[in-house]
Amino acid sequence: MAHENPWPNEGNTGHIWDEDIRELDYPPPLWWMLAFYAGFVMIVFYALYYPTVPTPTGHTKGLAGWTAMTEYKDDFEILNKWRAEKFAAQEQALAEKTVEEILADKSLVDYAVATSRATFGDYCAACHGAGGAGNVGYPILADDDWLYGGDVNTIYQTLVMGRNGNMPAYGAMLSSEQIGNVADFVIAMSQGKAEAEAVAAGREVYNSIGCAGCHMPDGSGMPVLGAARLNDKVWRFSGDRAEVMKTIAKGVNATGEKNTRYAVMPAFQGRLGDKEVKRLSIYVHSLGGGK
Amino acid sequence: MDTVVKPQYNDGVVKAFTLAAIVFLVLGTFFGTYAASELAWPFLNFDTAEITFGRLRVIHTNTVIYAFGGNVLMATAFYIVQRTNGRPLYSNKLAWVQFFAFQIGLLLAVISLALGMSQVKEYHELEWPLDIAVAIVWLLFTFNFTMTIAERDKQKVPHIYVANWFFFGLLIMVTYLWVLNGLSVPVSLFRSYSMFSGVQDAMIQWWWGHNAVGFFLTAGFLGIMYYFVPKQAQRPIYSYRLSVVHFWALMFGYVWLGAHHLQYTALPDWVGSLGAVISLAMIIPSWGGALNGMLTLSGAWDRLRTDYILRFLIMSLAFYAMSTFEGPVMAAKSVNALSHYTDWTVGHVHSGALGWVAMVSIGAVYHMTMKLWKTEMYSMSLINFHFWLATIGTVFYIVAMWVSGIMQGLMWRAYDDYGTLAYTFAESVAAMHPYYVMRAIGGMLFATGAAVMLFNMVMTIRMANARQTQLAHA
Amino acid sequence: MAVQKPKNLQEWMEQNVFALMFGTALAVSVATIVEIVPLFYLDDTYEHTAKDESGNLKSPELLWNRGDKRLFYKDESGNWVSDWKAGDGVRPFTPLELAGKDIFMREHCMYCHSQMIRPFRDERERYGHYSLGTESIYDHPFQWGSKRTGPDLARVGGKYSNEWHFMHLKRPQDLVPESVMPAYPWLAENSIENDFFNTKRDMKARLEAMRLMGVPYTQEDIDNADEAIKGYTEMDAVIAYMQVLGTMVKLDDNKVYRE
Ligand code: HEC
Ligand code: HEC
Ligand code: HEC
Ligand code: HEM
Ligand code: HEM
Ligand SMILES: [Ca+2]
Ligand SMILES: [Ca+2]
Ligand SMILES: [Cu+2]
Repeated sequence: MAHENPWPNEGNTGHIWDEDIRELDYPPPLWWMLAFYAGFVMIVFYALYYPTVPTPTGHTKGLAGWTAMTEYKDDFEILNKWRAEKFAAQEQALAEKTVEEILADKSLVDYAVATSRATFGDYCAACHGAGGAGNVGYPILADDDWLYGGDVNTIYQTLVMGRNGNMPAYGAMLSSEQIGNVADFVIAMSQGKAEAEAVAAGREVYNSIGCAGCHMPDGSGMPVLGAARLNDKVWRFSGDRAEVMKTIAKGVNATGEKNTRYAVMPAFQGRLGDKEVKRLSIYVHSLGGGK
Repeated sequence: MDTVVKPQYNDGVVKAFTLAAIVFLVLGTFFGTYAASELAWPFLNFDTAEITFGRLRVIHTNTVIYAFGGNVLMATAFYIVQRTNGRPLYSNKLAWVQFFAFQIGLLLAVISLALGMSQVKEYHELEWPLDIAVAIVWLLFTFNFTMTIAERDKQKVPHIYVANWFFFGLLIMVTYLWVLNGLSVPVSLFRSYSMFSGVQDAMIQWWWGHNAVGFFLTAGFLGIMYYFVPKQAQRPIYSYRLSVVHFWALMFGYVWLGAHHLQYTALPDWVGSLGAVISLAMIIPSWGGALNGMLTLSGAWDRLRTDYILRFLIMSLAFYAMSTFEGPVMAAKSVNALSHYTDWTVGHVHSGALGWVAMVSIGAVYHMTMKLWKTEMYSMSLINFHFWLATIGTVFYIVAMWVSGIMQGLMWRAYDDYGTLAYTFAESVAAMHPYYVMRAIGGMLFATGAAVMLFNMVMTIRMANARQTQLAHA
Repeated sequence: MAVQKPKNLQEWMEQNVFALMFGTALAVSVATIVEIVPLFYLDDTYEHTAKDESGNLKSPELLWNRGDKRLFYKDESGNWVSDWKAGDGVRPFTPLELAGKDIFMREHCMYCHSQMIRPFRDERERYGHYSLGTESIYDHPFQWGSKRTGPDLARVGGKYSNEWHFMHLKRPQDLVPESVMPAYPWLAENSIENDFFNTKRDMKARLEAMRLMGVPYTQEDIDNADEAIKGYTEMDAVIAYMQVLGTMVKLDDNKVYRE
C-alpha cells in the first residue's frame, strides 16, 4: 500500500495512487529552471521600461517614455514625413487650389486619382459600387449622365454638402390611370417617341401638373435640382413601368410620404476633410470621363 | 485472481458524462464546421435567424467549450477523483443530479442562444436564469469533488494527487470569475444588462475571458493529462517538483493575462503592459506542464507505433506547447497590433482547442471507455483513422487561419507607393475566401473524425453489453 | 502507519484539501486586485475624468452637459427630436437606439464587428479618430469586440444613409457583392415593441435598470420610454443605433486625449 514503495530504486517520491501511478522526483531540467528565473528578471525590466504598475494615484511611467499615444504620433510622423518628402508639392497644391485649378494640372490629377482609390472603396463603393459602377437606387458615377452635373465643381459641391434630391409624391393628386399614362409618356420619351399619339394623355398631364417644371418640357432634366434627365436611356431608378409609376406616385425624398424613394447622399466634408474631398472629386470626375 | 479488494467506484455517472461529451463533440464541431462554411459560402445562412453566423458562432463556442469540454471535465474529474483517492464519490446521487441538471441546462442554452437570448459577453453569453443555473451546477460539482477528497482514507492516501490540484484550480477560479463577470441587472426573463460598462466592463470580461481559456480549457485539461498520460504510458510522472512549480505558476500567473485581449484599446496602457509581460513570462511555466508530460513518456516512445491512444495524448501535448508559445508571442505589443481582430486569433484558438483540448480529451475518453465498460475498443484501426482525421483537420484549420490572419493584418495596414492605404476593407474580405474554404474543409475532416469516434464508442458499448448478457445467460 | 506531519506548506496543502482550496483562492486573487481595482478609482481610466498636472480636467467637454435640456421629446408635428446635437458630447442612448442595441446584441453583430478603433495611422485613415473610453461609458455591456470579420463600426454613424442601411441589412451582397455578412430580412418585419415570444419590450424597465447603474436618465426620459419606440420596426431601431455610433463627440486630431 501507500507506505510500501514498490519501486524503491526508481528515485520516486514514494507516493502511489490508483495502483500504479507513481511520481519520480527528478529536478526540472536546468535550462527550464534558468528560463523560469529569467522570466522573473524579464518582468522586472519590462516593468521598469513600460508604464506597468498601478499606484494609489496613478501608475509608473516607464523609462522608455512609451505610451500608445507616442507610438501613434511617431508612426504618423514617419508616414507624413515620407509623404512630405515625395509628395509635399502635390499635397500642398491639393490643399490650396480649387478643384478646377487642380483639374487643369494633369500631373496633379493623376496624383489625386492614384491616392483616392482606397478611400473611394471604403467610403463610396458601398453605395456607388466598385469603381462607381452604381447599385440599385444609387447613381452610376462611371458614366456621363449626371443628376447634378458632371463638372468637377458640382461634384465637389455634392461631396461637401451631400445631396437630397426632392420630387413630390403625386399619388394623392393623380388617379392611378393618370399615373400610368404619365409613366407611358416618360418611357416613350426615353425611347425618343415623345411625340407618339399613344402617349398624348400622359404628355398632357406631364405638362400641366408640374413635371415639366423640373424635368423640362423636353425631359432634359434640371441639374440644379438634381431632377433626372428623362429623355435618355439611363434610368436613375428603373425604366420598368411599375417602377416608374412608383416614382411618380411616391416621389423622391417626398416629405410625409412613407414609401417614397429615398435618395440621400451623405455629406463628407466633416468626416474626411476638405483635401480628401477635393481628391475624391477629381477621382469621381475621372470615372465619368469628365464632362 | 486479484486478491486485493478493489474499491467500488460510482462509474455509472462517469459513463453518462463520457457519452454526453462525445455526443456534444460531434454536435459542436458540426456547428463549427457549418459556421465556417457560412463564411466561405454566405448563402448557407438561408435567411434563417436561428442559424445566421452571429448566433451559430456562439452556439458553437458554447457547445464545444461547455457542453463538450464541461462534460469531459466532469467525466474525468469524477473518474480520477475516485481512483486517486481510492473511494467512491462523496455522493453518487448528487452527481446524477448534476448530470441531469447540466444536460438540461445545455439544451436550454442551445435553444436560448439560437433565439438570440444572450448577455453578449464572450464565453459568458447565457442569460441570467441559465447563468445562475450553471453556477449552481458548478457549486454542486465543486462540493462533491472536494468532499470526495476530504473524506478519503488518509491512511491509504495521505497525499492528494497532482491531477486533483489542477481540477481544484479550475473549480475555484471558474466559480469566482463566472460570478463576477456575470453580475448584471435583469430587465426581463430574457434580457439583462452587465453591471459594468466601458473600460471596467472590458477588463472584467477579458479577465474572465482569458481565464475561461486558462482555467477551463487549460487547468482542467492538465488535470486530465496528469492522470491519463502516466496511466496510458504506464510510466511514472517525470518530476514531482516540476508539477509543484508548474501548478503554482499557472494558478498565480494566468490570472494576470486578460489584459492582452485589450492592448491598444481604450484600456489604460499600464494594464495592457502588465498583461503582455506576464503573458510572455507564461511560456516557461506552460512548457513545464508539456515537458512533464512528454518526459513521462520518455522510455515509452516505442509504444507510439502501436498505441493510438497514446498518439492522441502526445499530439495534444505538442499542440499545447505550440499554442502556449504562440499565445505569448501574440501578446507582445507589436505582434498583437497585427494579429488582434484577425483570423490569426481564431487560428491560435483552434490550435489550442482542437490540438490540445480536443485531442487530450479524445485520448482520455478512449482510455476511459475501455476501462469503464471493461472491454477492448470495437475497432482499433478506427482510432488510428480518427487520429489522422483529427490531426490533418487541425493542421488545415490552423494553417488556413495563419495565412488569412496575417494577410488580413498586413492588408489592413498596407500603404502603397503614394503613402495611401493600399487595400479597401472589402478587398480584404474577398481575399479571405480561399482560406475560409480551406478552414471549412479542415473542419469537415475534424468533425468526421468525431463522428467516427462516436460510432466506435457506441459499437464498443453494444459489444460490451452483449457480452454482459451472454455471461449472464451462461 | 500514521499520517506524517507535513514537512512544509506544500505538503500541508497536499494533505488537507481545504488548505489547498484556500491557497489556490489566494493565488488567483492577487492579479484581480492589482489589475481591476485601480480601474475603479484612477481618474485617467476615462478621458473625461483625466486631470492635468494642476488638477484641472483635461477634456470635460467629452460629456454632454445636459442641464435641463431634453434627451428626446415629440415636437409639434409629432416627430421625435432632441435638444442634443451630434458632437455635443457623450449622452445616454435614446430608447430607440437602446432597443436597437438590443437587436444588435440579439444578432451577435459584435462577433464580426468591433467598435474600438485603435490609435494606429491606418485605422485613423480607414475608420476615423481612435475610440475613447468615455465613448462607451454608458455601454452596458461594452461592445468593443475582438474580431473584425466585417469593418469596425465605432464611427459608422452618418457614413451611410438610413436607406442604405435598410438595403444593406436586408441583403448585404446586393450592395457589396463580396460581403460575407448574413442577410437580416426579418428585422424589417418585426415590431420593435415586441421582445422574445411577443412579450412587451419594456423600455421603461430598461431605462430604469440603466439609471440604477448610473446612466443619467431623468424621470421624464423613463416615463416616455415606451412611447418613444411605438410604431418602429426592429430595422428602424438598429439603424438608429448605427447612426449614433461615433457621432456623440467631436474629436480634434491635434488634441491628445490620453496620456
Ligand atoms: C449612403 C449612400 C451613399 C454614399 C456612402 C455615397 N453616396 Fe454619392 N450619392 C448617393 C445618392 C443616393 C446620390 C443621389 C442623390 C440624389 O439623387 O439627390 C448620390 C449622388 C452622388 C453624386 C452625384 C451624381 C450625379 O449624377 O450628379 C456624386 C458625384 C457622388 N454621389 C459621389 C460620391 C462619393 C465620391 C462618395 C464617397 C465619398 C459617395 N458619393 C458616397 C448615395 C451615396
Ligand atoms: C420638384 C422637382 C420635381 C418635380 C416637380 C418632378 N420631379 Fe421627377 N424627379 C425630380 C428629381 C430631383 C429626381 C431625381 C431624384 C434622384 O435621383 O435623387 C426625379 C426623378 C424622376 C424619375 C426617375 C428617373 C429615373 O431615371 O429613374 C422619374 C420617372 C420622374 N422624376 C418623373 C416625374 C414626373 C412624371 C413628374 C410629374 C408628375 C415629376 N417627375 C415631377 C424632381 C422633380
Ligand atoms: C459574418 C459576419 C457578419 C455579421 C454577423 C454581421 N456583419 Fe456587418 N459586415 C460584415 C462584412 C464582411 C462587412 C463588409 C462588407 C459589407 O459592407 O457588407 C460588413 C459591413 C457592415 C456595415 C458597413 C460598415 C462600413 O463601414 O462599411 C454595417 C453598418 C454592418 N455590417 C452592420 C451589421 C449589423 C447591424 C449586423 C447585425 C445585425 C451585422 N453587421 C452582422 C460581416 C458581418
Ligand atoms: C500562456 C498561454 C497563452 C497565452 C499567453 C495566450 C495569449 C493569447 C492572446 C494574446 C490572444 C489574442 C487576444 C487578442 O488579440 O484578441 C489569445 C486569444 C485566445 N486564446 Fe490564447 N494564449 C495562451 C494559451 C491558450 C490556450 C492553451 C488556449 C486553449 C484553448 C487559448 C485559447 C484562446 C482563445 C479562445 C482566444 C480567443 C479569445 C477571443 O478573442 O475570443 N490560448 N490568447
Ligand atoms: C470541427 C472543428 C471546428 C470548427 C470547424 C470550428 C469553427 C469555428 C469558427 C468558424 C469559429 C468562428 C471564427 C470567426 O469568427 O471567424 C469558431 C470560433 C471558436 N471556436 Fe471553433 N471550431 C471547431 C472546433 C472547436 C473546438 C473543439 C473548440 C473548443 C474546444 C472550439 C472553440 C472555439 C472558440 C473558443 C471560438 C471563438 C474564437 C474567438 O472568439 O476568437 N472550436 N470556431
Ligand atoms: Ca451617372
Ligand atoms: Ca473573440
Ligand atoms: Cu488570453
